Amino acid sequence: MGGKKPINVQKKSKIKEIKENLKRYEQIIQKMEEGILIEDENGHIIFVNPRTEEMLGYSKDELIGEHWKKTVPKHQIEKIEKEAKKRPKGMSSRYEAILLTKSGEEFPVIISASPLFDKGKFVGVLSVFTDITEYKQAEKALRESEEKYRTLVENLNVGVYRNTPGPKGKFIEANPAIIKMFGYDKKEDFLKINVSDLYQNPEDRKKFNEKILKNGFVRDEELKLKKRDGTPIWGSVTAIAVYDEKGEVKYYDGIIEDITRKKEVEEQLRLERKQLLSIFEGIDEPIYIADPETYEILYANKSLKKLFGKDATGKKCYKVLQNLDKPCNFCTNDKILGKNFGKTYVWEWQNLVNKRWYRCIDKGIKWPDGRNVRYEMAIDITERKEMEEKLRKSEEKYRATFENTGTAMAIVEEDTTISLVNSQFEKLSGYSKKEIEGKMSWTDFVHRDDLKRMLEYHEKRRESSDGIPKEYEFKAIDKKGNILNMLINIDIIPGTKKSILSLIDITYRKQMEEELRRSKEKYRILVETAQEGICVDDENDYIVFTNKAFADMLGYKKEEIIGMNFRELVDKRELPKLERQTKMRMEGKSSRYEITLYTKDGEPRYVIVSAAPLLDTDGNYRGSISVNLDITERKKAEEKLKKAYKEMEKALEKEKEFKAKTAHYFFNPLCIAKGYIGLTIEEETDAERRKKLESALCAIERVENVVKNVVAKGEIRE
Amino acid sequence: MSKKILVVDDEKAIQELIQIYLSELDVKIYPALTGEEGLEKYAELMKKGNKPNLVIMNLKLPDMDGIETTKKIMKMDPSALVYGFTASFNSGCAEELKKAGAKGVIPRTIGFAAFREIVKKILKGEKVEIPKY
Repeated sequence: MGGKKPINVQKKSKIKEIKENLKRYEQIIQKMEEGILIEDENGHIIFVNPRTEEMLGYSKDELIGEHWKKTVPKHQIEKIEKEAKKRPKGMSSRYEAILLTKSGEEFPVIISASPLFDKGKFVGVLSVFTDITEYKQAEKALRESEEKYRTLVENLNVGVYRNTPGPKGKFIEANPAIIKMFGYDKKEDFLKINVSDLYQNPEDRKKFNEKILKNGFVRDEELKLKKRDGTPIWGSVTAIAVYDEKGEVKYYDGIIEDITRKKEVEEQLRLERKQLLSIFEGIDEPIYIADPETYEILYANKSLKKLFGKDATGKKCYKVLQNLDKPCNFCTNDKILGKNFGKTYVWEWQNLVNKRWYRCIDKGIKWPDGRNVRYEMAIDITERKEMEEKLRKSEEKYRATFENTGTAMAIVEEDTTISLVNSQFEKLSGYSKKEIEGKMSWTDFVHRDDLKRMLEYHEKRRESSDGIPKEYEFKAIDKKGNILNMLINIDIIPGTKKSILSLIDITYRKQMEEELRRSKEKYRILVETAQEGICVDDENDYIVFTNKAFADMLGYKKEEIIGMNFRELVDKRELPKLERQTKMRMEGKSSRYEITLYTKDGEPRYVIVSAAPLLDTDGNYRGSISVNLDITERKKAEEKLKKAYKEMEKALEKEKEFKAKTAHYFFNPLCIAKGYIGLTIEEETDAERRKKLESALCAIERVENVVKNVVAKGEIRE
Repeated sequence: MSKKILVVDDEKAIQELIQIYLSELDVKIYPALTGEEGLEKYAELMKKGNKPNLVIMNLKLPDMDGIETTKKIMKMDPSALVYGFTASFNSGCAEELKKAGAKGVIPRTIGFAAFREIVKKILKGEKVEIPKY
């Protein structure tokens, strides 16, 4: 590097000349945007303009006499020296370089350097330099931008290409994605192939070509393509046709996306949906899918259509399923959609249309088009509901039975504690439920005479119920200390050590039994001493019992008549009547009828029979009991009376006829006589004769009165 | 205009006496000696729009009796006005005649002068009280 050097006189004159020349253009030079620097043949600076001072940060004085190397960073010296060597040879050049400011900052410039000759001798160099910092920055930015976009295209997952038109077509440009997409390693290999080679069916290329030529572009065109090794792939292509100045298509620019996976997923979804719907079709329960926004049924399975109409799809779910005109106020969409999406909601509902009960299983699911939709399967639980209802009623019934059976009932624990009693038990024992339940033992109610036996039963029943009576009588003690005769019925509740018991107060029954025993004796005496014949027949009318009166009535001894058939005693002509009566007995009916029986001596006895059926505990006919009243004497008296009455009626009839005839035969002529005499009296003027006629009339009226008395009272008097 | 009375009675003397006794009442008497004749005359007068205002009916007649005749007249004309005039006023027949449609039964023993007074009242539409004997 050279330092500041004094300029010799000769040279001075040349530079002076140049300076003078420059002076002429000073105005211009001063205002130039470019820096101007003149150096001598050795590289020492002899002139700089203000712009140079500004760019380098030195004053003119600081630069004049200095070697140019002062303004250049070290790494540029070699490059500039190489350029500087061209000047003595008379060569100019334009090149980029980097300069160094006084403060040590580098900046790029374009230098235009020209040699200066004086009479053929090289005397220096004129350099004009332009600051290209901004240009460089722009260039850098551009380069970075280009790099960025290039990288983007190079690394895009979508294929970017340019190819020629036509049925076959050739790729002009292709990014790595498309090359990789089709299974090629090298771009040059890819550029060699025909575009139609990528189509599974080359005809599709023709169609594509025709379409893009017709419209100038294609958008999202889905094409069946294939890789280099023949593997099929799906591509979605968006491309435009690019035209030249003549309007001819130069090439197609396009992007292609590998949508094979998307297609596979779609196909999978389609298949899954098909399978799912196929499964739905086979399910006997109604299933539907509805849009939660529009309430439109998107899908309804066979079962649902069968129940709610073939044309359910496309209609509003609330109309089809519940026959409502607006969404159901019990709609469960909020339970399965929104924040609850994916959750299953199960509920039970009685359908408003067919009144059947359903257990509905609702869930929000994805519909193939991405919508969240409502899925519901309804399981008919009507029978279960009915069963539940029956069970509920049954349970209520049993509870009611327990409470209202009319029998005192209790449940007893293994340790003899009473855990549950009904109101009858309270009534019977005199204790309240509160006092008994969980607090008292059944032993508190048992008389000491029976306690040991019942405790044994209690223990043994829990080991094995064999041989332990389920029903027996015992003496109980109530709250007041009264001793009560009880009939207990007790058994173990299956699967537990608890027993359930019912108690019947038989104190009164016991008294009654005694009463009955006494009563039976009374009745026996009554039957035996009765005046009416009492007779018991079996179901075949054989006499199994009679009292003495019945035997006497027919002239038999008791032992003779027992074993006879009742029919043997009856007048043969009246057997059909007896058959009818027996039939009534068999139907459980009692009746009273008259029949003729014959005595041992063959004399008829007229009898009024009051008979009642005898039934066993199952209601089967086992015979009849009859009370037989002998009315023979009464009957005979009645016959006599009837005869007398008939005779009397005849006599009365005759009398009546007599009276009628009397009235007819007397009143008519008397009436006529009276009529004519009356007329004669009205016409008669002679008082004497009138008097006589009136006497005649009076006499007729007297006869008339006599007849009236005869007719009305049977008496002959006036 | 004269009132019309159909008298059904087989006793000619009775027919004559009724004719005489009622002559002062401005009535026209249509006599019939049998039930059949009575029915024919009633039908004929009815056909002419001139039906009897009153029918006097005896109980004992040679063909059908007064009860049967009254029933048939009532069937022909449910508004017919029939009164019995008989000697058998005290028998059950009088009640049967009423059941057949007769409004009342006048006993023969009443005499023609009293009979006339009763007929007069009947034709005037006045309340009639028939004495019992």
